Amino acid sequence: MIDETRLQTEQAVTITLIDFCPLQNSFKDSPEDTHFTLLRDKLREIQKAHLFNSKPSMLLMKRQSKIVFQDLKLGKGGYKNLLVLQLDPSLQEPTLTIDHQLSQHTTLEQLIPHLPSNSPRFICYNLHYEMPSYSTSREGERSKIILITWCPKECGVRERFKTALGVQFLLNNLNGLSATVHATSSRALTHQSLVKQVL
Amino acid sequence: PSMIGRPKNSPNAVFQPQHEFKCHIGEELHQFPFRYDEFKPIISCGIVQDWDEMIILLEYCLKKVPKFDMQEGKYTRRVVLNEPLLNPIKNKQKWFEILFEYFEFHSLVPQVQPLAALYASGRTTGLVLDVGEDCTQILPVYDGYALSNVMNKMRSWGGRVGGGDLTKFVANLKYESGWEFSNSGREISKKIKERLAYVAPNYWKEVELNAESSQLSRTFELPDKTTITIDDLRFKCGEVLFRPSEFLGVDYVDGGIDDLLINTLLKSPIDCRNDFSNNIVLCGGTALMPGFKERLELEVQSRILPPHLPTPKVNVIQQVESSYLSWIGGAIIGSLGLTTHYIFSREGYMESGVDINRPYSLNLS
Repeated sequence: MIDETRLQTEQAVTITLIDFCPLQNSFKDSPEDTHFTLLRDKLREIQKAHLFNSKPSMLLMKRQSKIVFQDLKLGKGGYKNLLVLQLDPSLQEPTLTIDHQLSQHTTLEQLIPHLPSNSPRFICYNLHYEMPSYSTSREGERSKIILITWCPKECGVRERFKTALGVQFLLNNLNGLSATVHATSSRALTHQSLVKQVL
Repeated sequence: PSMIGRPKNSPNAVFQPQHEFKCHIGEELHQFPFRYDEFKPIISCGIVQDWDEMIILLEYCLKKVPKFDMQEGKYTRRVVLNEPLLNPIKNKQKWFEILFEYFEFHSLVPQVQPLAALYASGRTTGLVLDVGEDCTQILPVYDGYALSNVMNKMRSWGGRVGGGDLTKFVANLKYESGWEFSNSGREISKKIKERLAYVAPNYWKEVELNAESSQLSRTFELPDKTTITIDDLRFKCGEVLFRPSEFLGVDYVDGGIDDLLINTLLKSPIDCRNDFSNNIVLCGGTALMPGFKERLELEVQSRILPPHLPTPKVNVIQQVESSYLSWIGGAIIGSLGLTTHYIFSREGYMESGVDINRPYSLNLS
């Protein structure tokens, strides 16, 4: 069941990327080019199929944040290790936006003391770790992106509920998250415990 | 609160003009000094026993909602139906019929109680143990997907185990020791249970301690200012949940709450077991009993050993608002006002009736 949804979300992310890709301008410039028209028709088909299949969801997310996450995955852009998302309280509908102030930290150890004690955050963290080996030779370094939900005990029930919805939403919409970790205090966020979740 | 009582002496002219209702509902039952002819719960384990009484109860509740106009509200409001696990189809159909045809609400979102409770605790992965008034149920959820083949309810041949059974147990034991509470007996037994009962980490040690000294005994003041002492009842009451067949009778075939929890953990896939054992979310009023959390952690740690549970770490989450957690979850689903996949509209119902085969409410997004 989980694999199917992952496949669906993969499609969704690629479509949103294509929306913003510079190729789209070239469609308009050269409509007669058969190669591009074919490609465009195919894309429209996929988009229609996606619209038909897409489920209405309880949360919203800005497309910009999806692109920033994609950049984090590729190792380019401003944020290379950490991306902190929050539920924007200023907007009427619950919307996920990037917390630029907290995202500036480069490691998790730096970030933890600055995390708020009464509101939740979603942290996409690029975890670098040494693969444990069962022989004398080294297995080498690996890196995986994990989703950490920061939901301290002081949060209200309504906030907690929205956090849970947010996790569900991010898992459906961001492609490439290998594990989710639920943290209520900084004790759960040690390097060792995170590596255990990934292995 | 979902109780209804009809006074024996209702034609009595003295009482009649003061009260509009011929029956009294919920906490009113304890305010008025009637002898009640009928005194019965309307819902038992989420299954409605008497639908006529249920309509009276719903109308009474809707009158109490502030800023709610029945005439305006009924066509525009959405209702969240928080139902227990394994709700019988007949019960579901009747709910649809009443809410759409009698009350004429706009739309309906059915939702499973433990899932709403899990979301209200801020998690999408976890094992929800709901120990309510008349029903104990358990549901494992992984990344928002309920593992419906593993979900379970604790049951006996006659009924289900829950907080109500503990209250009856307290009442019976007090009766044996010479105290007979007449009219408000149930309420007094309930108060004794809520204030003094606890779950012992080791039952037999507690029995020995009680025989040696009077360290465990406490006094309780009755409404007529007489005091009674309560000693072994305190830890026996909590033990009922763990060994119901010994205390309540042989009907309770499924074993105690610890058996239910451990069986469910062992039935679920081995990759998920660690996530479940780290996030056991308690829900329901009886789960707030002191010592309950520690006893559960101890039982799971001592009875599931490493090959079955990869890392033996157990974390039970008990929250202050635990007794109303599933209601709070349902209320938030209603108040967020956003569209979900599982809305049943009145128009659709009027056209084609209830489609029970439609995918049903086990996921939120």
